[in-house]
Amino acid sequence: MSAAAPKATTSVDRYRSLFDARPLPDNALTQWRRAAFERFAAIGLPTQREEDWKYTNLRRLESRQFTPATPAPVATDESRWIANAGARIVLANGHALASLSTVSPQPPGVTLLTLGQWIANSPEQVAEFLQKQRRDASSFELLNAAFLEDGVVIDLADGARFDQPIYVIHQMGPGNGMSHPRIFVRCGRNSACTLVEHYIGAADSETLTNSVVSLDLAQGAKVAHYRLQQESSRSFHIGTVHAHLDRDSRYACRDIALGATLARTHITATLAGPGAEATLQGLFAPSGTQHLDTYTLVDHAAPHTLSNEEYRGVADGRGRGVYRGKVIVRKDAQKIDSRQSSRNLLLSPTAEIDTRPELEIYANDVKCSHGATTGQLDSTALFYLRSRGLSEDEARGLLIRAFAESILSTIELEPLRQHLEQQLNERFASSEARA
Amino acid sequence: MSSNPQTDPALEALVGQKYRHGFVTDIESDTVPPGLDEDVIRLISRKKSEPEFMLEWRLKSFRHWLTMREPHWAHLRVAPIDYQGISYYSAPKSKANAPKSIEEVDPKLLETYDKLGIPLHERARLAGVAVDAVFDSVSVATTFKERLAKAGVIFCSFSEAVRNHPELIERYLGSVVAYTDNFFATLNSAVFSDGSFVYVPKGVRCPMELSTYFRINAANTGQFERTLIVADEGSYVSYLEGCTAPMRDENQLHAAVVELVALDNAQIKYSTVQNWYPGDEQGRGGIYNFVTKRGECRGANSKISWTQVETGSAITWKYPSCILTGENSVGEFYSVAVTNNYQQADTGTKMIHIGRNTRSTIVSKGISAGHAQNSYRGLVKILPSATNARNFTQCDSLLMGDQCGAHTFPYMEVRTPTASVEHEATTSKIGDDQLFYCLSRGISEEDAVNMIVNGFCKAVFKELPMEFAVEAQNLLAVSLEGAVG
Repeated sequence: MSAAAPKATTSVDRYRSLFDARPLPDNALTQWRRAAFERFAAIGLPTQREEDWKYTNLRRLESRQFTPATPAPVATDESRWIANAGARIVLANGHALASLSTVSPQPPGVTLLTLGQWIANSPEQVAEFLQKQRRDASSFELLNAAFLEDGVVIDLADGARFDQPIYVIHQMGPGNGMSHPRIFVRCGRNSACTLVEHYIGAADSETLTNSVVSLDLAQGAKVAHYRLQQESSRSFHIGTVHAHLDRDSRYACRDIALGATLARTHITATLAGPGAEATLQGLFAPSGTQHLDTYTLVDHAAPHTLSNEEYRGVADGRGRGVYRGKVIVRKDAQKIDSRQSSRNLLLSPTAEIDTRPELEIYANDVKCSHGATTGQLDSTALFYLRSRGLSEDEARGLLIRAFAESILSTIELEPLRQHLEQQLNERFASSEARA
Repeated sequence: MSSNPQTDPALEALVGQKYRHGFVTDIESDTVPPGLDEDVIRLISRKKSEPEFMLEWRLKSFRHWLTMREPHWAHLRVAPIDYQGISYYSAPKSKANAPKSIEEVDPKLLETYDKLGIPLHERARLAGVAVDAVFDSVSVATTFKERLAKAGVIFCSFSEAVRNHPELIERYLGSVVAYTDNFFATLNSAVFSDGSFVYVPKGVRCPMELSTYFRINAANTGQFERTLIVADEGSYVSYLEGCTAPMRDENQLHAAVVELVALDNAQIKYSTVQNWYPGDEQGRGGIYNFVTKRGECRGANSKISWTQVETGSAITWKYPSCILTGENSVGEFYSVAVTNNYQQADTGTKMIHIGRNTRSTIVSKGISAGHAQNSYRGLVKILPSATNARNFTQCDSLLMGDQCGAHTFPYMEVRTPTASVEHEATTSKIGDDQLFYCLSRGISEEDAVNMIVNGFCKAVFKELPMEFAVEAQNLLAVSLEGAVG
């Protein structure tokens, strides 16, 4: 306690000097940012004493000095982008680059603009909108609010459909910049869209990405959300996702974490209306000294809601994978069906997996189950493949890919799936050479 | 209740059943005034004529305790506890000459046991069970000493062990649960009054099941039991612990510590039926049960098995754990936790795998009714040295009534690739189809629920020794009567 307290103040101080150094106009938005910063300063960065951060030590992050990333064009690495993934929006170091974005004329009822544009046009309106948002709770959300500059706003009117996926590239680096992008998705009744977020970092950059995505699904809306995290191997990634689901809406999130030295994703899905359904699927594959942490919270706040969750982890080298999945069933939220599974593979004697599937249930007419396993590759399956002439490496690679396949196969976007398959093939082929 | 208008008045009456074991025996207690400081600890130690090292240890614990804070991570709502408002020592007064046989025991005490149906002088012999009864804080009677002595087994009260076998106590006390372990264990280390001590020598199979009945009697005296069981190489012992307590209005604190040590090839089976006073149907009163139970499989091929049936206490905070140090050692945890009315339980286990080829099994069944909250919290930790370690965990919850809660908080930390860890949990209510099936065959709702619940808990009950299994089933039926959701 006594050791952690002064450390936290120093990192808060560092952020404060960055905050104070920013030239901000005197308006409602600035007030909102300042209030958020003060709340952040009061609580500081989380420590391992907090249950939510039990397995993730932020010392590595705290000791780093980041500079607010500039809107200056960065060395974009277009070869790493997913081709034909949809209407492209590039956030370079957290700032939208119109020159690289390919947003075609939008169908009626669809509003797609960058947060930066909106702030430039009507900061009062943005401030008013932000005030009405769910109050940010965590340190990192508050930090994001304080340093908020740019992001994406997607607004769908009732019945509107965005026929293409919206492909947001978060391109970071080089250098040690930090970016705090925010994405708002508001879906009217029976509207539908697909959001792909791709986090890419330039090699050797030591950046911090602290993104917040909030999705609001009205009755009958449908959102498919893909998160592909491929930050540079020395960078930090904190991602917060809040999805609020009204009656009969559907939210599906596929969360793939491959990059960053330390990454934490926090996904909350609140099922607020009967018939709402949330599907959370994810894959995290720490290797080297990576630390990949995922925390999902499914909150069944209304009766007759459905959730399905499957996370898989593959830890190699000295990598550490952390998964915590919490399911809450509120009082009187009867007729709930909830399933959750966490399966993990340990490939090296120095890797570690910590998993916590949790159920918190306050209603009785529910069907909730969870399962978790951690183990190594099945030796009989390996033997089978070896006996058919595959080399040890090939056999292992094949089995690991098969393990990951159950998450990959749920990805309906063909270009994204192909991109991922290629990434994973490379990843696991190289990991085998080391192992 | 309002949500369930067709509740049978007869069932209501059963739910409203008063605690059967609620009465107080009027015995003058030799009680220390409430409060805790070093003088109280010195007084406890002096009253028990303890050797110097014990006093040192108590004081060391107390000083450490002063630096600690109450833990609040459990899923429990605990009314603030006034540690200075508790009297830390209470002994039956008529103890001028400690009784050496059953005849010397205060007849009033025996009467209490009779009322509870504890067969100290008759059924104990018939059942072949040696009873070391702890009445408040001092052991007043011990039976079957000779038979055990013949086998070389030491089974006595803790104070007696401190006096007669100080070398064993000094060697093993605090070796599994260190005095710095946690807030309640440290408090216990400072002020523990009495408890049981068992030592089974090399190669001895304890000739009978050992059991202790814990009781709380005098008002406002927290009970701080300390149990230490050492099974030397190749030995086997089965220990039973069961408790009932008189009715009380004020919350009573119970912070016990149980330490088990199993050396090479030794086996310890520890069974508990806990039925402390759970408070009334409005949630008033009841025992606060903050217990630290831990066993260490120190030797190769050793085995420790915990079985518990938890039906009582207003608050249960209890995690019987196994540290699997020895190669090929085995840890088991079987638990049924029942909460009704406003009871709260946060219970589970910890399995720490250190040695190679260690195995552990966790089977936990939680039943929640009324306004109760029942949590399973378990840790499975596989250290890098524990190659080929295996764990299987199954925890199921049953919800009865729409006001209660059932929660599962498993933690799995795996650091060796050759380990295999599996966890499975389900939460549901009693199936309407199951109930309908029974009702359509003329089985009353009450019996049907009983049958289904007993089936639900069967995997745990079959681990209990025979006498306890029967008692546990009855207890479960009484605890849940009328709580049909």
